Amino acid sequence: MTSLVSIYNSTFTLVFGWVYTATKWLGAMGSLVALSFLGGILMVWIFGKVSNQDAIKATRNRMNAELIALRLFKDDLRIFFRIQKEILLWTLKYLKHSMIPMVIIMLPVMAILIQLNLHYAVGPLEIGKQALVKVILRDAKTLEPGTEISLQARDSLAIETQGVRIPENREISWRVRGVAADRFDLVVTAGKDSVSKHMAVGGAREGVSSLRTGEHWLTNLLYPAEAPIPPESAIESIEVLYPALPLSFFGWGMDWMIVFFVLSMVFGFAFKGTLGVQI
Amino acid sequence: MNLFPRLTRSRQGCHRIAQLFLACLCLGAAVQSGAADKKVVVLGIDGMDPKLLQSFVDQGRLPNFKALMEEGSFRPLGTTMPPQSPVAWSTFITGMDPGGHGIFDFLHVNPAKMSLFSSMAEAEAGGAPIDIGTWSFPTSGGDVRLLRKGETFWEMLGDHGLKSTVFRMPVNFPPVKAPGRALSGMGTPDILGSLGEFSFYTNQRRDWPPVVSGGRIYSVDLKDNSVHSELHGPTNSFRRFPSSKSLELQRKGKAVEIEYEQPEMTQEFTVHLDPKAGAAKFVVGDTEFILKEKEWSDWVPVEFEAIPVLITVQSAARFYLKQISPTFELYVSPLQIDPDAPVMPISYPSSWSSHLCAELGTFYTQNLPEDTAAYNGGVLTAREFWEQMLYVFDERSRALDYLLKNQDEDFLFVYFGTVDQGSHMLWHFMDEQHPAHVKDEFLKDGIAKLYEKMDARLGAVRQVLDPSTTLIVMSDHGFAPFYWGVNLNTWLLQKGYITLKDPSQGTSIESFGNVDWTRTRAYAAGLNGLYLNLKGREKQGIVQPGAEQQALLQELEQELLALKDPRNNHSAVSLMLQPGRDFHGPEKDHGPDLLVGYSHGYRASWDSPLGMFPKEVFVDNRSAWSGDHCIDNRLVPGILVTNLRITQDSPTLADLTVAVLDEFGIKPPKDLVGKDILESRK
Repeated sequence: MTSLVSIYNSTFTLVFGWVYTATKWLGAMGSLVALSFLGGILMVWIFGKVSNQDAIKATRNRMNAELIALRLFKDDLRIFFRIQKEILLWTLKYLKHSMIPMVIIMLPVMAILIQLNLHYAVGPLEIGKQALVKVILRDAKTLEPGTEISLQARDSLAIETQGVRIPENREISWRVRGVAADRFDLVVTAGKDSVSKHMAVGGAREGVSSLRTGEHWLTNLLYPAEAPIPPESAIESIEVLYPALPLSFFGWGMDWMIVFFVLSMVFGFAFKGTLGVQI
Repeated sequence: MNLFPRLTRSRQGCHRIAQLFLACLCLGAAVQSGAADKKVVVLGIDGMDPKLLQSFVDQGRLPNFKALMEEGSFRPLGTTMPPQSPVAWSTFITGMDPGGHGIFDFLHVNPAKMSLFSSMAEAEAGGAPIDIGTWSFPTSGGDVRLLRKGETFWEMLGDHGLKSTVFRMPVNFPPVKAPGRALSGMGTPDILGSLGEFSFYTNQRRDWPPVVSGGRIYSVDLKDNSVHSELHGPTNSFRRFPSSKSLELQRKGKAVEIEYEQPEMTQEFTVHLDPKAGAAKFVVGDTEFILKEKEWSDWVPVEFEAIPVLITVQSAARFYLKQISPTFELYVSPLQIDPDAPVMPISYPSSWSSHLCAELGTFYTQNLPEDTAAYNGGVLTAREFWEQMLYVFDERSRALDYLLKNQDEDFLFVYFGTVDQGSHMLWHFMDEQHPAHVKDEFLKDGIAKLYEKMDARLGAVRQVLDPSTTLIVMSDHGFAPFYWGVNLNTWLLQKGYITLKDPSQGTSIESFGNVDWTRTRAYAAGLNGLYLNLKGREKQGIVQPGAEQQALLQELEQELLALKDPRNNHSAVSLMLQPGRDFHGPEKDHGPDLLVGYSHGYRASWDSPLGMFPKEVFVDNRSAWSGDHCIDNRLVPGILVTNLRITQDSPTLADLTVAVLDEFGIKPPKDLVGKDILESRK
C-alpha cells in the first residue's frame, strides 16, 4: 500500500505543482483565488458526472411545485400540512440523490486540500527565528542511554540545544535557529539508522512540507511532498515546526482553507448553469 | 479657432475661484494649526535623576546628553508633591497639580468602604447577566474608566489640528481619543486585571513563603521528568457554579439561597525535562518550544477558552526556566494583554496596537513590565532581573526606532521606564551605606549602565531628527536612597490618633482590619497620604469638619515636622502639605488631607501603607527595592534637557506642559498652573 501511495503522491504532487506554478505569478491570494475557481468548477463537473441529473432535476421541480402549492393553500390547514409532509419527503429524496455524489466529491476535494496545505499552510523558517525539529521514534527504547541520536544540518541552520528526550512520547526534539537562506536536507541518525528531511530557511515565500513520516499510509497521503520513511527504520517521523504562512486580503489576515471553501463554492454555484449541472 | 469661448472664460473663472478657495483653505489650516511645520519630540525617561545624570556626564559616560546640554540647556525639573510617577506624569499631561487632575498617589482610599483602590483606572461591571444553569450571559460588556481628570495637552494640540503619537504615556489607560495615535503605559493591567502578577512553579513549595507580593507560587509534581500544570487566567464571566460555601451550608441541611462563583479560566501546559540535555520542552496550547536551563522564552501566545470554539481570551507570556534539577523552578511573566488581539482598550485607534505588533512583534503591554516584584520576592535573582529589564528596554528601543522612522505627526512622545525600575532595584549595589548593600562589581555600575543605554538611544534620536525639531528629554522625578522605612500608622497609634481593636494583632491584619474606627482620628494610606477620620466622609468618621478638622491638621503637621528617628536623631519628615490649602482645582478636596514629605533616606515603610501596624516606627529597609523617590519632592527633582534655551532657573513639570503648547503657538487654558520656560526658535 505504501508504494502505491508513494506513486500516487509523487504523480499528483507533480501535476498539482504544475497548476500551482501556472498561477503563482498572481501572488499568494491571487493564486488561491485561481485554484479555488478551478476547484469549484471541477467539483461541479464531477457532481454532474456522478449524480443522477434527471432525478435531481425532477425532484427539484417537484419541490418547487410543492412550494407554490403551499402559498396557494395556506388558508386550508389540512392541505397545508399535507404539502409540508410532501416537501419533507421530496427534500429527503433530494438528499438521497445528492448524498453519494457529495461523498464522491470529498475524495478530489481532500486531494486538493492536501496539495493546498503544502503550498499555503507553513513557510520557511525565518532567519534569526527559532523552530523545533521533532523526531518520533518507533520504539521508546531507542531513547534509552547508549543509543546515540543526532541531528545534522548545514551551517545555515544553528542547532541550539541538545536533543530533549521524551520517552513517554517516543520523541526527541531539538531547537534550531535560521542563520542564512538555504534549502537542504536535515539528517537524523538514531543508532545505525539515518533519515533525511527537507529543510527550508529564509528566501522567497513558498509553501514547505513540515512532516516526513512513515507512520501509516494514510499519514503519508496527508504529507505527499517527501517519500515515506521506510517501515524498517527506527525513525517514524521527522517534523519541523515551521511558522504559519500569512495570507491577507487588503490587510485582513485570513485562513487559506476558509478562503478555498468559500470561493470554490461561490465559483461552483456561479458556473453550474454554464456547465449545465443541476445541484 | 476657439469653438467654446464662453466655456473657456467660465473655466478660467472656475480656476480662479478654485485657487482662491484653496488659498483660503491653506490659510485656514495654517491659522488652525498654529505653526503646522513645527515638530516636537519628547523622550520621557521615568526616574532619571539630575545629580546622577550630571555625575555620569562629568565622567564622560554620556556623550549624547553632554552634546544636547551644550547645544541647548539642562536644568533639574521640579516635580510634584508627592513625587510619585502617576501624580507627576498626570501633572505633565494636564498642566495641573493634583488638585486639578485628581491623582494623589498610586493608591486612593474609598472612605465609604474604608478600602484602597488603584488611583489610575477602574473597571465597571457589564450589564446584568441572563443565567441559564451554569451558563451566564452578560447583557452588555464591562468597561474600564480612566480616573485622571483634566484635558491632556495632546487633546489641546488636536483641537488645533495637530497630530500626536503618544507611546506608553503613564496614566493614560484607556488612552484618550485625540487626533493621532496612543498606546497606554503605566496603569495598564495584565489579563487578570492586576498591575502585573507573575507565576512561579516549583516542586519544592515549602522553600518559599506562603505569599509573595506581586505574584503567585504554585506547587507542581515532577513525575517521570514531566510537569503538568496550568496557567491561571481571568475568571470566566460566561460560567457560574454554586460556591463551595453555599454547598457546604446546604449539605448541613440549612435552607440558604445558593450563591454562585465565576470559575477561573485555565490553560494547561506540560514541561518535559531532560536534565542530561540541560533543557526542557514546553507544550502550551498549540505552541511547543524548548528552553535551556536559565533561558528566557520569546513571547508565547496563551489562550483561555470562555465559550468553547466561540470566545477565547488571548494573552501572551514569557517563560523563564530557572532550574531543572535538583529542583524544578519555572517563572512565568504576568499574562500580558496581547497587543495583536487586545481584550481591553490599550491603544487609540484600537487597531494601532495590532499594527505595532505586526511591525515589532509581540511586546510587553502591562503597567511597568520590569518585574521588580519577582526580584524583591526572591523569585528572580538580581542578574535575572537585569536580563529581563534589558529585554524590556530593547523592546522599547525597537519601538522608538520604528516611531522615528515612520514619523508623520507634529508631536511625538516616547516613554522609557527602565531607568526608574533599575534605580529602585539596583541602588543598594551602588550605595555602600545602604542596609541592603550587596557587593557585585557588575551591578554596582548597573544604574550607570542604564544611563549609558539611554544615552545611546538619545544619540539615535539626535541622528535622525531634523535640527529644527524641538527635542525635549525629561523625567518625572529623580531618585534618593531608601535606607529607612517609617511606619506612619504605628506612629499615629503610639501618639493616640489610632486605636486598635486588638493591640496584639498589629502586624498580622491588613487593610486596617484591626482599627477601631470609633476611636480613631487619623490614619495613613498610600505612600505619602494621611487622612483624617472625618465625620460625613469616612464610614465611621469622628472628626468634626471645620474647626476640629483644621486644628487636627495643624497639630499633625507640626508633630510630623518634628518627628525624629531616635536611632540617629535625623529628622524623618521635611515637608508637609495640605492639598485643600496648597493645591488648585476642583479635585483638591478628594485626596488625602495631608501629604507627608519624608527626608533624604526615609520613605513610608512596606507595611504601613497597607494598613498594618508593626511594632517599631522606624525600620531598616533590607529589601532589594532600595532606591525611591516618594519623599519631599524638593529632594528628588527630575531632569529637563532640551535643544532650546531654558529661560527659568527652576522649571517644573507643569511649566513643561505650557512650554510644549507654546512651541505650537497655543495659548494655555486658564486652569494650567505653569508658565512657558523655553525660548522658542520662532
